[in-house]
Amino acid sequence: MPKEQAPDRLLEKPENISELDRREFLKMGLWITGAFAGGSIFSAVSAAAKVFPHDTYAAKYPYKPHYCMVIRVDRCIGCQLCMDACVSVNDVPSYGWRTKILERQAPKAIGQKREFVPVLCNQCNDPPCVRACPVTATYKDRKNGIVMMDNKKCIGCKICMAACPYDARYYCEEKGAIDKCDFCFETRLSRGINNTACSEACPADVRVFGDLSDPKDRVYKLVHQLQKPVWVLKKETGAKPNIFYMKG
Amino acid sequence: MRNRLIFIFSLPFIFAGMSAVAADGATKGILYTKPLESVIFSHASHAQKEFSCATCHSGLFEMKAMEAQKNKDFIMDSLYKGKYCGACHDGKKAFAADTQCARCHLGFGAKLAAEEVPLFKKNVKLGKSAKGVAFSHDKHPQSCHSCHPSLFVPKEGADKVRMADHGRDRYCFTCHDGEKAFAWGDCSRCHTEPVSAPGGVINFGQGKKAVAFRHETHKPKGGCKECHPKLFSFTKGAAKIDFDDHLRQKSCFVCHTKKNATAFYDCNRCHTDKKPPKLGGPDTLTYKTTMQNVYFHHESHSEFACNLCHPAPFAMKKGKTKMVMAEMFKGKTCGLCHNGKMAFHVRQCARCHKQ
Repeated sequence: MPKEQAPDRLLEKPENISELDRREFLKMGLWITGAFAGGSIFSAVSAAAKVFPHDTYAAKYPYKPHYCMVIRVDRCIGCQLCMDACVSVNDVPSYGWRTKILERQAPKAIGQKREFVPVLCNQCNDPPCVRACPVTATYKDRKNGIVMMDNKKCIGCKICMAACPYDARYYCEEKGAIDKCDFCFETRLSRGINNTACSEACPADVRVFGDLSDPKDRVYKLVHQLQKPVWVLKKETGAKPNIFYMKG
Repeated sequence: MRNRLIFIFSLPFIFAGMSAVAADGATKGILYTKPLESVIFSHASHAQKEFSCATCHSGLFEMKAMEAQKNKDFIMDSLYKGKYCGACHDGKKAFAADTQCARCHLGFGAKLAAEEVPLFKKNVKLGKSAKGVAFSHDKHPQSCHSCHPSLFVPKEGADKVRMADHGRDRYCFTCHDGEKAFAWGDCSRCHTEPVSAPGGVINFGQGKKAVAFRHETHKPKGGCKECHPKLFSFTKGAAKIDFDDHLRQKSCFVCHTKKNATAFYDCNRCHTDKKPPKLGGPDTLTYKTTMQNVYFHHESHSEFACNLCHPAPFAMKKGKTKMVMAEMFKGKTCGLCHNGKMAFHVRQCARCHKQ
């Protein structure tokens, strides 16, 4: 473009736009779009963090009822009646599991030489599986805090299975989706039975299921006391699980 | 150098062998699967010196394994109340049953490695000293409960097997009767040292009239079995010999009988208080009648053997046989011979009825 025309260029209607002008315009456009897009992505992350910011805890229980389970491992005898009950109530296939019993042998221990630890989906308050799912097929229920599955949306990519620190999920061929423990919501809680199948089947009163937000509930009393230590599994993941373990 | 190399190379095998023997951590015992799987009870872990088999096996647990789990009350609550294991596992004698749950409960599908070897003495001495019997459990491969505790208390020395029990349906003799197992007649099969007949005198009856029996003078070929327990039980004082037994071939008289004769031939051989037999037999018998009495003299009949008349038709006891003339005519009592053919006919009254 001739230099003498430069000052009047803007007022005139140009016949053709030069390459350099087009490039400038496109770059400007991209920059603006990028700013918007990036901003919305950032805002998406902060929206999730608004509910449970990482490494912080809510001032009060956010769910009503806030379902949780207290597992008293000193009473577990590995009879597997809870596993049987879960399988029969929730139609769990043989290759998958919603709850299982881990066994640890300690032959040098004094007295009792083995330990049984029941594990299941911890219904985390900051679930890694929910964050990992690309299609939002799994979500934390807003009312009761159970990490639920939307089987229609699930594409079976199994990213959530890898993300779960507790190995609580499995792919169910029959449903064509990922399956996991839902505190018997579909089979029992939603039908008025206020107890999970596993906790009801346990003969040694190992699993105590209840509402953590209710001060009169048994789980509230078990968790909120200082005499007997209460712990969770894999606290370092920051998932903030809702399954509490204790002895005594 | 070669020797050293051989030694070094063989070391791992030696250690492997040692560890194979030492690391026998497999669980042996009795596997309970009801009401929950699984609890393995191991006798070995309960082998304390204060315990005998009877500590548990006298009411708490059956001798037969796994019988306990057939009961409906084989639940933890029963243990807390002192039943089954809870009798000791109450926190005082042993750890409480409501603590250390997984110390006994091994989880689902616990497997037994091998058959348990229950703790019992393989060889048990029954009785003391030479008279004793050496019992070997190895030779009796039945299950524990076939004898315990129904026949024998599972504690050494608790049961006393006496001579009188031989031949009765008790202790060993429930099987050792000749049918299920060898008969007990041969003493040496069980008694470690040969059993001799008791010495001394065994008195039948009391006082002067007693017959003194000595084993030394009696050594039949068949041994003890000839008389015991068919003829005489092993218990002292149990045998009572009746007068009529002398004729019925019972007790002593199975042997002490002349062929086709009675045992009355020599009374004073056994009854030392009696006089030697009169040649004529016993004394005169007086039969009182409404008419003149009959005096029966054995001497007049002494040529006959006693068993011709005794015990039939005449009982040995005085006054036992009723004499009816009408019967005699028909051939009963005296009429058996006094019928005119063998001896004078009964019609001849005066020959017997005299002053």
